[in-house]
Amino acid sequence: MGQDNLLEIENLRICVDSDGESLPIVDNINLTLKVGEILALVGESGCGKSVTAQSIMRLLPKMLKIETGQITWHSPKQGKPIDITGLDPRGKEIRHIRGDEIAMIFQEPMSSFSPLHTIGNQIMEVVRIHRNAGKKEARAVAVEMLDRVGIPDPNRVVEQYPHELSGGMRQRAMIAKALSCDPALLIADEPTTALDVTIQAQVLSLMNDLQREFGMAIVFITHDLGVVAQVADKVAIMYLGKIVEQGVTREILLNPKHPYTVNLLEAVPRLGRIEDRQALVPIQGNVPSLFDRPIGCPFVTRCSKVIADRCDVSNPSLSTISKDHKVACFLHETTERIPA
Amino acid sequence: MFNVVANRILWACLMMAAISVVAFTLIQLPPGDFVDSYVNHKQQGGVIMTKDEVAEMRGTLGLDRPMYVQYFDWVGGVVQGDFGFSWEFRRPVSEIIGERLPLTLILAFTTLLFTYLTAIPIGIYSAVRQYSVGDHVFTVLGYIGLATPNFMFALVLLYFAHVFFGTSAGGLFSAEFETAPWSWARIVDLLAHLWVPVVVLGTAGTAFQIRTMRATLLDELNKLYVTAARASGVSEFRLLIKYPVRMAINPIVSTIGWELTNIISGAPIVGIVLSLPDTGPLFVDALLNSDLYLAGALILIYCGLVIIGTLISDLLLIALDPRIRMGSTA
Repeated sequence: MGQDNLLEIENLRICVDSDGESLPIVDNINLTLKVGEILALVGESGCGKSVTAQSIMRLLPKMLKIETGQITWHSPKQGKPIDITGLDPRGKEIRHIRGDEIAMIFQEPMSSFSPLHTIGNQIMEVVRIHRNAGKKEARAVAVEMLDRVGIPDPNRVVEQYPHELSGGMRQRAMIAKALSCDPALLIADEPTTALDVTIQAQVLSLMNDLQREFGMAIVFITHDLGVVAQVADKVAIMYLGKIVEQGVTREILLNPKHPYTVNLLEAVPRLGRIEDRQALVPIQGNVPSLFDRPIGCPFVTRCSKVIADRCDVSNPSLSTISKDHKVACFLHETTERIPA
Repeated sequence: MFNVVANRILWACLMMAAISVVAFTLIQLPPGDFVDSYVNHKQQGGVIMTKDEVAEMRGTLGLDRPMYVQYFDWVGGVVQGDFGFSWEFRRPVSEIIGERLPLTLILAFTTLLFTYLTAIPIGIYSAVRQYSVGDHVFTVLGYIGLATPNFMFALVLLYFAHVFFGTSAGGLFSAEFETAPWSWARIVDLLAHLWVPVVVLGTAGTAFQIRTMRATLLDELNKLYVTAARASGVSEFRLLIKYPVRMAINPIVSTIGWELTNIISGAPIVGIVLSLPDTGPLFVDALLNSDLYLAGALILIYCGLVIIGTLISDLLLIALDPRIRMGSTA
């Protein structure tokens, strides 16, 4: 493992308990993130990208359990590696990490603030928990953070309630709250999905600016490959709880190997294609239910390049096809492993 | 904010005015008036009044004036604390009510306090420890509480209070304190008796509020803002109290008005079973004997209490929820 790794996820498997049976929601997830790096987790709804992200902060809902695997957090503030899967999700150690070392922003800026407390109160809370700061000091931090995320008149907004702000402003305030303790990792769970397109672009460029300014690493969850191209260094494409393709963003987007990634890219609207009167190509069918997982490759039910007696029998594992590129598909299996 | 508060108070006053019309109509609804029943009484005593005498009496009492004049006359009296005259007791209504109303108020508000002070903590416990043994126990107790009629429950408690605590059955005071002036000992004696009607009157409401609190809190616990707060490192207890409980208390608070209604409308029956010296039994008597000014006054007071309860819950909601305070619907 590299020296500057910030987060390592190894063989992560998260299951849901259903009628005494435990069904895997995500399985065999391996990810590493270096300091200051931006990783995009991409996939359709229900593919397990949010669950993966929540497990990093041990925020999984009660019925979901981490069954195997390790999440190692190389805490820059505590200067030592911590196995997050070994912590009590309600305990002190994880609370020290949450909000201070790893922060999170959510898809719905409408509901991620309590409607009964002022924006300032909720930002100050984080600062006061982790910085041992007084009220005045925390308020000053809150105002400064609101200012840095481009909210006009932060002194007034500090006293305002969430319902008085627009969606875009609320998401900015959420980012201000997340960055108020200068975390080393920011998990952004579809932060722009619920916003208007113009606001989306503003928030994305804000996040890019802030990343450069604060130097934090970001795990960016999205289903929008357009967004990935704009922000991410690395990308992992997930399908039905598994990573099907991962690597450096440029390589994956320009040279996609997995049929699912290819299909996803074909489904992205592009101006050029509209002029050529090319229709968008939707991916056939729906994501199968977790309770009805196909045998073999998870994508076999929707794939157009199924190899009979192969894809519907066994599940391809992730194999390295070049230094910056891994794919789990029998079409691109390599016999010899290229050292990463 | 001042506008919202003023608005609610104004509406409460308007409601009160409307209810005074209803109460007055109720008083006037039965055929015949006070003079008719007076003449009847005289007749039974063998005295026959002439038409002129009857008309003169109507004139002195003002009963020959148009309805609306009489209404304003009555309301004018009520505003000054004069609720008319009780035929049955041959005393001013205000005097009779004055003796008993304080106990009714004590009973109603103690019950209200009991309901919320028990329901909120139990509701929180049941939601946070959903499907635990404790949750199931409270659920069963709650359904029993909801399903048991008040009078039945009163009888059962009366029996147990007598057998296990030796408190004299029923009433709000022991014999030696019944007519004694207020003193510390009398208050203690009152509290020793008060718990029976309070528990009887409050149990159904408590059970209901536990269900409400549990259901709302379960909803709130899964809201994104709770996860968001947890993600910023807030401790579980602080998180619970500051965010979801604060939210879940709103629907509970907004029911204070009709919780009070339930208590007040349940009170007469419980009052009779437990022979309480409050306004409950008085109200039933007044209705049975067509003692109309007394009945009307009690209706007015009971409705007034409900309106006050609603006003209290409105004002509390305004204090608790900035979205209501600012008149926004977001």
